Amino acid sequence: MLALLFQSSSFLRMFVDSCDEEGCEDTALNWVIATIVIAIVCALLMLAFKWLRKYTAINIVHKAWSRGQTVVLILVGLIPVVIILLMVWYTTRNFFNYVGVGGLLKGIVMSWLLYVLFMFTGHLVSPWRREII
Amino acid sequence: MRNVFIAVGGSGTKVAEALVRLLAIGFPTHRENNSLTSAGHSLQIWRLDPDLNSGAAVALGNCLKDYQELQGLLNGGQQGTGVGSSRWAMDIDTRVRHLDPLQLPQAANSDNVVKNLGGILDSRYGAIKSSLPFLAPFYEKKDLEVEIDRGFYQKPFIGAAVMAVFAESLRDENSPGGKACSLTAFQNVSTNFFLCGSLHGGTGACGVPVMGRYLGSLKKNNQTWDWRVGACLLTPYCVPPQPPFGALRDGYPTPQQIDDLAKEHGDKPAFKGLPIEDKRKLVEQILLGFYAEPEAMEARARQGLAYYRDHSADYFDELYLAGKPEPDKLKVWSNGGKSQSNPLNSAEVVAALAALNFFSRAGTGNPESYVIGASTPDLDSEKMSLRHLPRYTAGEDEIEPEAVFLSSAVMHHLVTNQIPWEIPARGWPKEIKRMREVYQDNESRKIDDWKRFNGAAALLAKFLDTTIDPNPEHTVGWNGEDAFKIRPYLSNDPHSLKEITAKTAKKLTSKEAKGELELGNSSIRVSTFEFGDWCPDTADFTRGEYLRLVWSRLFARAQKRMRAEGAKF
Repeated sequence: MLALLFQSSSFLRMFVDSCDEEGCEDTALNWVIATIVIAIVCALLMLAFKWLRKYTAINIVHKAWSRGQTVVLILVGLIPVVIILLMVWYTTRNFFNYVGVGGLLKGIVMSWLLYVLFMFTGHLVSPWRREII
Repeated sequence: MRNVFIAVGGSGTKVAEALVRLLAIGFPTHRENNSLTSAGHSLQIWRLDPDLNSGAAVALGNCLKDYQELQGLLNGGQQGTGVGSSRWAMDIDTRVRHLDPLQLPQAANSDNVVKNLGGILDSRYGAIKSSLPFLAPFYEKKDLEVEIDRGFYQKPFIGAAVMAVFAESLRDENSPGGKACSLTAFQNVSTNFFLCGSLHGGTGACGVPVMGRYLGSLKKNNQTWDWRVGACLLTPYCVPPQPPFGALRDGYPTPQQIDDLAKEHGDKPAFKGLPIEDKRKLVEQILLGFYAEPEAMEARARQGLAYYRDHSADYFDELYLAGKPEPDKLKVWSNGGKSQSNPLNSAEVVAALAALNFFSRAGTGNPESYVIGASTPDLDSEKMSLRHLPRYTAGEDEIEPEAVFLSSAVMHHLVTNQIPWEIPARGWPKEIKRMREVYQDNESRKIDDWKRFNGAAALLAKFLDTTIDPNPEHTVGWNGEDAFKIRPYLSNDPHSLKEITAKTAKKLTSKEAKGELELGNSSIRVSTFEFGDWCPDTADFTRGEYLRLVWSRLFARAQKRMRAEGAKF
């Protein structure tokens, strides 16, 4: 279903500003894939950062994370998502030319949503679930 | 096990205060469920002193209030009963039984009303006839007339007569003293009676042998009661200054002399606040020589010891002596009452440790002989450290006072700073799993416990600090090094927290701590990850039970960094 949704031209066209030329759907698909990959990578990085902080904690208090701390960690992770997306968007000519600023913003929002989803899922399937619910 | 501490006079009362402090700090008397503890045993404090409102009595009362509050915070179940009870420390009946030796039986309302030696000894209750003719050869008129409701002015020849009458009155359960002791409640009950008073004073010197003799004879006549009677005699360990002026060589002062001196010294601390008539009385009392004479203390102590050797020692199961080679010098002269609020002396802490040794039934070696704990070679009795305090035995364990202080201080730090109280218990890491399981479905219990642990920790810190604080308002006889070193464990200051946290941090590859927590010659190596594993077996533990478990584990880890130097009972 999700793959079909991604491949449907109306969904993909949402992520590009101009789709007058041939191949714009491929560019849109690449952009969507980029946002997904970046969301996953950032979520994995932030989870790894948390694991490392906990593993190297010198006492129990440092090892215990409150819900507030966890939420802050998730929010902080939104920043690298934007930065990486911006870099990818700016350095890839097709993205810059066809995806445009509107597509960039939509991509950022989608990447953020996916990142938050992955972070929640990561916590829920781990012993850290008590730190978020 | 029931314990009764009988504080005789001002010095005995100060030792009672020291004993309450040591019990609050966590000093144990026995082993129970694999933990060293004093909980499960009880203590009553009797106070034998004609000076009902002395500064020492007020200080003891304040200390007992703090003890009750501490116990209440650690349990909460028995507040209002007058018994400070929790599984942290011994149950202490906070109602001190005041045994006033001047409160004697009365056959008529006029008996024993005048609170001077003549008035007491000439009371004619029951079949007793006037004894004044017999008193004349032994006492001067001034001895019989001086008021004795503030003590016996370190004159045992006055106190002994009063105490003998008082001890006799205890045989009658309906007498004021008999009612206060209510000794029938102790029949057939294992009880340790421990008396403490000075050897050189007035009330202590005559009260300890008389009460010891009374209890000892009761015990001898009732061998099945399992009573033990012990005492600690305090040899001169502090000397008061001379009064503002000296006594007359002989004769009686004139009214003019009294008025002049009352005017001249009316602003001195001992006189300040007194009505003019009381000032005149005090001047007259000093001129007649009724005050503690520092020069005569040593001689009186020697005579007192000889008396014990010849007449009293047999009534005691154990006798301890505590004192100082060079007595500390007090700064303010006082005539007793509330104004005589001397700071806690390190010798009084030593005497309190003797009481703990007696309560633990450890014994002092050969029961047929005196055992006198010798001072350590490097001991400066004016500047003692915790490492100089004598060790005692509880169960089969040797109790090193320095290690007890360190264990309690580290426990304070761990419980208040190394448990993630701010975070809901369900979010606690697996390293503190057992505590998490207790609290995760009962967050309100966790919050309540957190609040009460903080309150108890504040009181514990107060007990720890003010018992060895070298500030002359609090104590005398400590060098201050231990107080200085113990404070970071009791503090929330970020620098101290960081330093201790670094020492309790675990090594990368094991749970073991990176550093050692130290106090004097003692040290404890514990990481917060090891501490996180400690939890009582059942979930319905009290806060006191938890603290005792933590303390006991810490104490078991305490080690000597250097060769032991302290004396042992």
